[in-house]
Amino acid sequence: MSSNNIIEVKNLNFKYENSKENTINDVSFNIKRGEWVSVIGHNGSGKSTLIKLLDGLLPIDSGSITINDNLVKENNLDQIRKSIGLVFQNPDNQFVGATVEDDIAFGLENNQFSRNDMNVIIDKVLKVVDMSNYRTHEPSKLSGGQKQRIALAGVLALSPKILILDEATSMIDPQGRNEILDIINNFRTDNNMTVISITHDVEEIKLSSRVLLLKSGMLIEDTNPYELFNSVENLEKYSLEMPFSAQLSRHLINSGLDIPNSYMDEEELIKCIKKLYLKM
Amino acid sequence: MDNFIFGRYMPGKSKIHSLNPTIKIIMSFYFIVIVFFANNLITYVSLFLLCLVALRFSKIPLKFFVNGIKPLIILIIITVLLQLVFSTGGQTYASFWIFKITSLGLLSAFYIFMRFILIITISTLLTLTTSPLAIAYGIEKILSPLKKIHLPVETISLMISIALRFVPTLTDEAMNIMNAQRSRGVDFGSGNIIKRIKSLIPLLVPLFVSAFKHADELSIAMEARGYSPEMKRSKFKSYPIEHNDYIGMIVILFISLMVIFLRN
Amino acid sequence: MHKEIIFKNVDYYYQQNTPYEHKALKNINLHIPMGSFTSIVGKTGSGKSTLVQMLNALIKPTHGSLIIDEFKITSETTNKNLNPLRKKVGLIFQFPEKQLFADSIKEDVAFGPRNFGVEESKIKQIVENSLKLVQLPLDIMEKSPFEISGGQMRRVAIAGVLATNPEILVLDEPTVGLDPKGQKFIMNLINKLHVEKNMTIILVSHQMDIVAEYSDNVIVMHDGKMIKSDKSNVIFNDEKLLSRYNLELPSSVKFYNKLVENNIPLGEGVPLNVESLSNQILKSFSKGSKRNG
Repeated sequence: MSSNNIIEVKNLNFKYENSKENTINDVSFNIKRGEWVSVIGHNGSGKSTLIKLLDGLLPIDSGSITINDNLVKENNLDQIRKSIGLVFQNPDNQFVGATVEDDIAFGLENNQFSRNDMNVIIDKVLKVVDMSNYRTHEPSKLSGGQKQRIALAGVLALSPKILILDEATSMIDPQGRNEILDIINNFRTDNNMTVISITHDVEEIKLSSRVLLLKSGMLIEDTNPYELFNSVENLEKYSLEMPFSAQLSRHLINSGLDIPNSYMDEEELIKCIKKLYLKM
Repeated sequence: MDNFIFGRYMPGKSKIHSLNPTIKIIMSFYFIVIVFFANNLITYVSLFLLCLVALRFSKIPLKFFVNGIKPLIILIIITVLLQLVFSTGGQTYASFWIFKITSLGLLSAFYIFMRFILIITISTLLTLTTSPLAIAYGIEKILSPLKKIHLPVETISLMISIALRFVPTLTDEAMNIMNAQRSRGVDFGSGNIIKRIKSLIPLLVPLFVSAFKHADELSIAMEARGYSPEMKRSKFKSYPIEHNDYIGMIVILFISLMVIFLRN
Repeated sequence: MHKEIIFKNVDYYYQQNTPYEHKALKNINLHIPMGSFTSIVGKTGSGKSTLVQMLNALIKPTHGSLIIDEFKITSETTNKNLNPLRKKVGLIFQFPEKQLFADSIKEDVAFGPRNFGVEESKIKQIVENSLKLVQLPLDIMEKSPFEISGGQMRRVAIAGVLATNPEILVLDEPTVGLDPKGQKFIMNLINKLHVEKNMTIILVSHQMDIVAEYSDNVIVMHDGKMIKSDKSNVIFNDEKLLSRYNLELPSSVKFYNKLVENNIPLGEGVPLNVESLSNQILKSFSKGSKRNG
């Protein structure tokens, strides 16, 4: 029986050897299949440690993590890592292969795919990330955004159930970011993939249905983008920028326009401005 | 520095490029061994001609190649000069203080010069026409008998290919750091030797810091992608042995026999 | 003396006369006024970074010449005596924290001024002033630059360049990889240097919101060529140009366009930040109420 939750985290604790305090402090949450969850918090709040624990890259001190009905423990890390795909921040530091195709093959080789299957899968994922023309290119000839798309392709090649983005778009230009987020969003809906993204970027947060706030290793809020953008204090507390529509609303409200004080996305704000204009 | 091609790879589709890497590496080493058997004009010239033919087939422009190995010329000239002034025997043409230029000295200087040129040419040709990944593959194949004594041959070959893959990344990084320090007023490569070495610190420290960071993050990324050194892995790349490989082997065997017969 | 930075028919070829040859800059003609805030935009590989390196004679034009005040750089320029130019033009590269190397923050910041021959008696004051500029507490001076946070490392690196007191500050993507708060801090700092110290700023950025908000002039580069150089409101009014070269519109302009599509009349001229957009909306509202009321 497969449960509705793809990730279940219970009373998770973790402490680095040389630190005094827990980096992860009694954290519990569930994530449903197909959800897109943003994880936000200051640097040092434990975000990156949390995802390393999810993937079994660090040993759990106490508590438990269940990924796709498998308990994360030493003897089934293969299973766990097959169901999770991770894309990290620095595109240069996850490129193993000397060419694009070799890099995508790396994960497939680890999972002992046959040469024929590898070729089929590489073709497929290169199409997904729109990089088919770059199959034999070297990483040093690619832009940051392109490298990150290859990193994504390498991860998608193993058809993960869960995709985790660890500030994956923070080092690439806005256009590269939008392209990669579009690709992920499309792939996710077609494959019912779960996405967890650690991010500071409002555009990325907007894509998610749920937001987890971490502070000093504790999960202090489990909310959604609307609620988050509604509370200016929260945005400031987590050094996030306000979405453009919220910035504009605030300016207009401060100048005396009769606009509701709650968060509206761009479409809603345009409708609202239009209504006000026609009323006059 | 821009023109320096020793150790670099130039992608291409020539007959030399498409040779099986394992065989290409073995042939190159075999050639270097033969070079040490050559001991007269005709043997050196025939080996030189073989190099030229190989270079021709690789479709690498001769002028580019010559320019590319020029930076090594100084090294060669110094060695050749030492050989010239310190070896004695035969007729003496000129002498000053403890140095003598003799006929045997000239001859051995010429041979040393030829050896250098031949070895540099063939090894540069090898790296220019063989991708880093193919070199790693070739080395793995050559070392594979050592698996029997539990040498982690596959891990070594993966390490080599990753190291080679990071060469351009680190070169770029070194260039960037150098530029950044230059614009903070560092003058690399001027002043006395101590000053020069000192000026390298602002380059080397950041480069090491960054290399360690690369290594650290890369190892995590590799683990996350399911890599574990103990595990069996399948292979994506294959390099079948083809027609041209046999031709290459026959040619080099023929030349080596020639050298054996024609040497003094 | 020229009160401008002038590029005259500048070409730059990487690895000329080799099979790797690559034309990074093609016949660039440019005037950048001293005291201006000029941004350079264009896709990766358009030649922006090459242009930036040339401003410090780190690379020299293959053809043509570059004039910065009393300095003239051509292919003939030798590597000797470039320090006066490099003192005048401060360069902040992408991820400048990568250039940190010294044992202490103090030493690292002092590195540039020392190389430029500043007297030892003045160094301490300069280091303190520079750290104050980037708003770092002075008690971290003795710490190693490798034991502070990433955002702080970037500030130290910037302080190291500001310590040489440049007249022209060139920045290549100074905010990449920072969180929004860190980005805002850096941009406010740069703007402050421009406004208060009258520093000439040349900024390379992909972030159009930042470019639109801060710069007077914008230079559009594509494939090694200079496509257009003009006042920023002119550039951002030219949607065709931007879309042809795959450049994004600033958020304020995008929103402006959407409002206009929805038949809300806004004044001529695109808004370059949220504040002017808000003002334009208010203005059209007050006009509307006069018309109806």
